[in-house]
Amino acid sequence: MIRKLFLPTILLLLGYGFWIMPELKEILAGVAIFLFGMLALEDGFKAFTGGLLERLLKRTTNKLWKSLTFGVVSTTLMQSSSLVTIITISFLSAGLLTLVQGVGIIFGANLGTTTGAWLVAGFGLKVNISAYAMPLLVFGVIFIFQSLKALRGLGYLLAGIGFLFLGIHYMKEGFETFQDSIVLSDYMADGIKGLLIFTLIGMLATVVMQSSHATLVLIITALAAGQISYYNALALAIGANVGTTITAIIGSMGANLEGKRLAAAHLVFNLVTGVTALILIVPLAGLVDTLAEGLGISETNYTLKLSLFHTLFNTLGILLMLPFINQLCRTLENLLKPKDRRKRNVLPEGQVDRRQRKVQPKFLKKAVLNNPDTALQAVILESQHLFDQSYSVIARGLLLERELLESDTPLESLAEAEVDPGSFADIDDLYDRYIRKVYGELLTFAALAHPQLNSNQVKELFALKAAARDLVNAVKDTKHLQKNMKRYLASDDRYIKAQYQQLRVQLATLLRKLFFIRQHEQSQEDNDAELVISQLRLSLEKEDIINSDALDDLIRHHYLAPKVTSSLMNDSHYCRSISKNMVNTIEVLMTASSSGEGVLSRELALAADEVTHLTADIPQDGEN
Amino acid sequence: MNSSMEKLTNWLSKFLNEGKAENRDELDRVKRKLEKLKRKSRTLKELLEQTSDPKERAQLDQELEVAKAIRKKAHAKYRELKDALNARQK
Repeated sequence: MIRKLFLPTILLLLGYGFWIMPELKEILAGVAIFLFGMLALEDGFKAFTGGLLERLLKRTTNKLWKSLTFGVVSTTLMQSSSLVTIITISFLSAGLLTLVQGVGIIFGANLGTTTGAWLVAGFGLKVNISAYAMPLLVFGVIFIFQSLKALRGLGYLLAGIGFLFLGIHYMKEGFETFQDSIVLSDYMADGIKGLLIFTLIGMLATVVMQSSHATLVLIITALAAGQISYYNALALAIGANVGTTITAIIGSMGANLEGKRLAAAHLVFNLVTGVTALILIVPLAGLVDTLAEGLGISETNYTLKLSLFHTLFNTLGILLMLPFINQLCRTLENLLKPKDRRKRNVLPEGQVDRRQRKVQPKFLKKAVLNNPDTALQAVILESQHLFDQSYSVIARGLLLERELLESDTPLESLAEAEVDPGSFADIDDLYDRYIRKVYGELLTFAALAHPQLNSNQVKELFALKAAARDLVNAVKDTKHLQKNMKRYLASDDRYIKAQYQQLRVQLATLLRKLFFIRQHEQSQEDNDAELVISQLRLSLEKEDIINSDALDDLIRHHYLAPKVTSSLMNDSHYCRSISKNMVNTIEVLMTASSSGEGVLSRELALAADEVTHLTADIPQDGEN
Repeated sequence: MNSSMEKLTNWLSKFLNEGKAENRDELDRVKRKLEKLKRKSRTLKELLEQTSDPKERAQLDQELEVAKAIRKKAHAKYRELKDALNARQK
């Protein structure tokens, strides 16, 4: 309800404001242009993040001090703590960062954002920056129309900076015109009441604009024009610092639990910093005066002193909160716990499953779509989830217990065990409950992620989509295979029964191999995928029933009737198809990476036809 | 300072020459793979010399053949990329 009323209220207030104070137009147009510049800047940075940001984040955030530095440097460069926060939430949601690393970045971003105030106060107000804005906009727009992604990104960056400069210029001009008609200083309030009112105004302005940077520029220009007092400006800056958390809160709405925890950490940090700064505003202002003197800032240069205050209280916040960062993360993990869905998502073993709940996707969160790396990482993780679900469905469809598959007990025991045809699970039902939803949403998410990926990442995305399709086909083939398997595993004809038992053991062997490959792959970064996959394909080729002399013998001696033989051939085809599809999928899952570097391993792995050639050259077991 | 500037220039030129840089990266990756496959083949050969169990020998033989076949593919890929890069430079 509040969200629905928010926009019309803002529009009405603005309309009313323009009507009673036409001078407001220039200031607010300045804010609008400034915000537009930030949007362009975000687009520009996104163009350069395909794989690069992931590598950078991995290397530069493994220690807390590194995370902090990353936050400071990236925010200083991008001039947007909101963008850094949103990217961090995306990376956290995609599992590329831990909560402590994320919180470190956010703390750093809070300090990094204070450089904006220094730039505006020290440079933006003294120099006629609109003169720089024009050529930047012209070059920027020319680059934006180029087809090369890097040039387009550069274009957005230049245009973004151009719009930022232009926005600051209009705000400055606007306040100068404003000064002639209305003097805001008439409404200034002193004492604690004044502090609280202006803190609240700073907060609200930032919530509305969703940019503390824009609020701060507005404060600095108003302060420079003498429209607000120095202390009011300090309170506004504190308010802006608290209000900026709204971006993270909104960004975390589409994120997973980790993203929500990060937004909460951001809120806690900025609230603690804000309250401390409000309580200590007088001693802090005194410290600013002392430091300003040392730095050669004149006593009346309030804009630079405001920037110093902004940096100082954010540094104080970091110093206060840093020793408690691990405690803060633990508390948030305890407070924001996952709903216990895990058990419900795991397919039960043995007993017939009577639960009706459909398994939901785990990693496809809206927040990770903000960044190409995280969007692709989410597709990779969800494909692994789909693999695990499909693996379980296939195992249950063939009446293979996970405990047996995931152990080292000889699988030949399967051939001797009696099978009750009634205990086979209904694969259509399992598909509906455990796969359909995940598969459908994975494809939708992939389509949404596609436009922002680079060429290598698009190749990975296609491979992942094909892998998901292969998995679903493997499940459907299991359904076809199950029909005769049920029948012949309980048959009195020992010859055909033995053939189906063999098919079942073959699939169980493959599933076991896949399980151990997945386990090994998770513990290793460099996984020899091309070798492992080629070996798997070679084993499949060797096990093909077509190559079996024993089967020919059975047919020749009429132990297998023609009708039964044709069923066996069809089912061996299903068996091969399931195996091939599962191997293709594990190949993609072993090699896929959000930077798009897995393509080479897949190109090098031997394909089915290459393996066939190789089998002709390699002596069969025992031949040498 | 100089090395930082150099790195920054490299990074920028990499983005401005996207296609060329991608090719060079790919070439480096194939080169690394080739070296890894060479090491793997050597290890397999050593293991093969040490074992007398026929089953194990057959398994190692198979692995060695696979490694060789992949190396062959990697070589072909390396040559193809190198030629493409040379052609671009001309």
